[in-house]
Amino acid sequence: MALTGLQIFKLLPNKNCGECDVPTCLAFAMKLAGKIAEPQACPYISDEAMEILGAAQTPPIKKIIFKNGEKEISIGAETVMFRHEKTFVNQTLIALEMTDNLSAEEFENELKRIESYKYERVGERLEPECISLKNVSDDKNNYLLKLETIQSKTEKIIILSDCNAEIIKEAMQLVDNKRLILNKVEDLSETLNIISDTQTPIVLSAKNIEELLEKVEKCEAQNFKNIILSIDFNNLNELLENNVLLRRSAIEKGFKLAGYPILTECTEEDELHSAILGICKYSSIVLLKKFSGASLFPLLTLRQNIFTDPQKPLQIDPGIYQVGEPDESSPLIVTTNFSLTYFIVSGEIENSISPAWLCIVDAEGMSVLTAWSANKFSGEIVGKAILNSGIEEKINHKKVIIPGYVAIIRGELEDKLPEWEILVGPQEAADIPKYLKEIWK
Amino acid sequence: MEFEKPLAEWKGQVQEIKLSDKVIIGGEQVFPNYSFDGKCSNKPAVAIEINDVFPENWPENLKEIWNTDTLKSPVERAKKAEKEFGADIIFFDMIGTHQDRENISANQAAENMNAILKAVDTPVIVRPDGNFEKQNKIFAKCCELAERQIIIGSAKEDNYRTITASALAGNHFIIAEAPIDVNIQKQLNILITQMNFPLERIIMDPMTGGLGYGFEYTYSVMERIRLQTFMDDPFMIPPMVCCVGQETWKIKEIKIEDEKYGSKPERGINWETTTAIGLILSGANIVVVRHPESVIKIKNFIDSIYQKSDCLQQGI
Ligand code: B12
Ligand code: SF4
Repeated sequence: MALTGLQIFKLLPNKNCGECDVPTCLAFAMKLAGKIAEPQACPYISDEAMEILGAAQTPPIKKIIFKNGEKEISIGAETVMFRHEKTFVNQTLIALEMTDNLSAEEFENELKRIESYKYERVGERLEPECISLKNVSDDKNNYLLKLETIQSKTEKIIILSDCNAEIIKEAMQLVDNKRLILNKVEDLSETLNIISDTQTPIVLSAKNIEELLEKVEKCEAQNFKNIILSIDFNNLNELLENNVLLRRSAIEKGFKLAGYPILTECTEEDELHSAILGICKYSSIVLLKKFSGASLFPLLTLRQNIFTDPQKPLQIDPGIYQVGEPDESSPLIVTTNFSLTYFIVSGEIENSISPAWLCIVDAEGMSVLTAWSANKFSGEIVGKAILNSGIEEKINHKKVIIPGYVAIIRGELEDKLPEWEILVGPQEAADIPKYLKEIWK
Repeated sequence: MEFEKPLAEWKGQVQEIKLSDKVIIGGEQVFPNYSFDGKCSNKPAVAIEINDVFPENWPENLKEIWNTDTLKSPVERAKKAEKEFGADIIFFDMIGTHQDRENISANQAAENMNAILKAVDTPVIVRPDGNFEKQNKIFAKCCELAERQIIIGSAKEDNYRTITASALAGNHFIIAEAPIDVNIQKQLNILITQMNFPLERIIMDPMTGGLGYGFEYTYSVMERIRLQTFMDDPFMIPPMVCCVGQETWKIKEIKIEDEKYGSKPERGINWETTTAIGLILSGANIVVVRHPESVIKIKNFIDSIYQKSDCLQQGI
């Protein structure tokens, strides 16, 4: 549980030496409470205090780290019930199911299909991170063969599903343990023996919370740390209830047994529905069985939205950007530094045949109209941004195109840039190619 | 093992509003379907958007559904939406009243509205378009001439007076719209009630950011509004409406042509459904959509999530 500043203060040496970069121990305690400093910054802190603070700093939900190619991906480590309170930390992973009963060729095609689901939105890469390989054939060699194919052809995290201890043992020789999750193991205690050294993450599933917690307790007693929770559900109401109660127990009550990430196996009939619910309400992994680009793309976008930090909108650095290879006679276009706005506008300029200079104004990451209403995209501010950008040395004309939605700033901008011609562009970025074609000859 | 359910104790309750004999919204005392915490009350309602003039700028695969020989008029489209597509509410968006479009007059707008009111049994949300001056005229006419109770929108911070006065006189419901902002929303609710308009007849529109286009702001603002409701803030009790279709069918992502994005019509429907469900989870009592397939999917979701609780079925 989080400690208050005063509680932390009592643990500190009270020397007020300032070596932690704040003048007093009390001030340092406040920073620790606000989680904007690390206890290590005080060289005199006692081991005992360190331990208590360390425990207080570990998030109420266990963090599990995976390897995804060169990158690390984590789940868990959440600290709040509502995203506006702080932020949701680690986004829900999306797992796609494959079965091992396909022919080698079918299997490779299916894998290719899965690998094609990679998207770019707002400068971020969106893709499902996991593949779940379900043992249907009950043929060890066949299963391992398929596993090898996945492991060599993708970088995704692999969930072994419905396997017995024997298969698991061999699978662990094949695949890096940091890429594995064990789900629906056939024999729990035997499997636990196998993974007692490796601490391979394992999903514990049960019919209800009580049964699940018993399993967790047993595993904890045997010192297993990388536990993932999963509860069967008959309808979405049960899924919602279980997820909310587990999260609440962990975060609000400090109930350790409930403090593990949750995996949700989406039901096939309304897969999209359970996945949406899982992403919005506390699942760390959602496992899909029937999927297509038409369902994955909106789900990945939902996830991107829910897991952005509410305190800072995605934004890019202000300044002059080149779209294509502009020269001194290319058009100059201005917009805000909200990532979404930037990517839409630059995308549309790319669609036109005309390369361009893009002047990105520091509007604190707000969209054109939001920035304008917050007075961050006034004629004054835009004019100043253009003058300070150094663009005048790069172009041989004095024309600038402003977004149609802020036609109203034209007059003010003319006052600020008396030698310039201010052109009001279309409202929607989609009309930029046509507009450029007509006016920029 | 014993598990003590960590239940939340909320105070306050969303205002229950009876829009018609069949459609009742709000009344919940907990977050959307937290049936373990307390009373959930009425299921969210799904509205379908109908325009007075045909919306030529809709994507082809959506237009196809609404632009058949038998669906030439708004009245026919509204009937279809109610009888076949299962709309609980008709959202009559009068885009043709905008002074830069067809510039339909206030009298004509009221007539168009009455034709819809006669044709369907559902509650009808009426919303004119245009500058404030034009809208004000239409608010007044529609509220005066409506043959039955309507829900009229949108009252905004700098335009709430005429609409409030009109709706008050005609005994109608009002939509109070604020730009994704808890404080402005509350302020607006207070201003409207200060004109003696009953809070029990207000529905809030927190403004919908489309999925990928500000959705997360709406999602969190709605959660914060409901936190205030359940902390017993008397001015934050009205139910909420989200205009999902309008924010969905204009975005780029549903128009991309590329195999890995899946089929276009299906993607559009999923986009609209995902947005609507996300907003239901953050507190929407009415979601307004455009595609009949979305209606089916959203209702399936509602049925599954509201299964165990004491909630009431819309339309029974
Ligand atoms: C999400 C949102 C917010 C978020 C902020 C999101 C962000 N990072 O900017 C929040 C909730 C914080 C917010 C706050 C406010 N908002 Co706001 N917000 C929106 C919303 C719903 C979406 C904005 C968005 O993301 N659009 C997407 C981006 C990509 O659009 P864009 O930047 O305009 O770019 C498009 C075009 O302009 C064009 N384009 C861009 N650059 C260029 C350049 C050229 C040359 C050309 C040709 C085209 C072009 O291309 C893009 C796509 O076509 C809109 C309503 C809506 N549905 O649009 C209201 C809206 C913009 N907000 C509004 C208001 C009033 C506010 C507030 C003042 C309200 C308040 N709470 O006090 C505050 C101001 C901020 C502050 N004081 O901190 C109003 C603005 C009214 C007006 N006409 O001036 C709007 C229109 C809502 C409304 N109808 O009332 N808002
Ligand atoms: S370094 Fe340690 S002892 Fe010194 S002021 Fe900071 S907290 Fe106190």
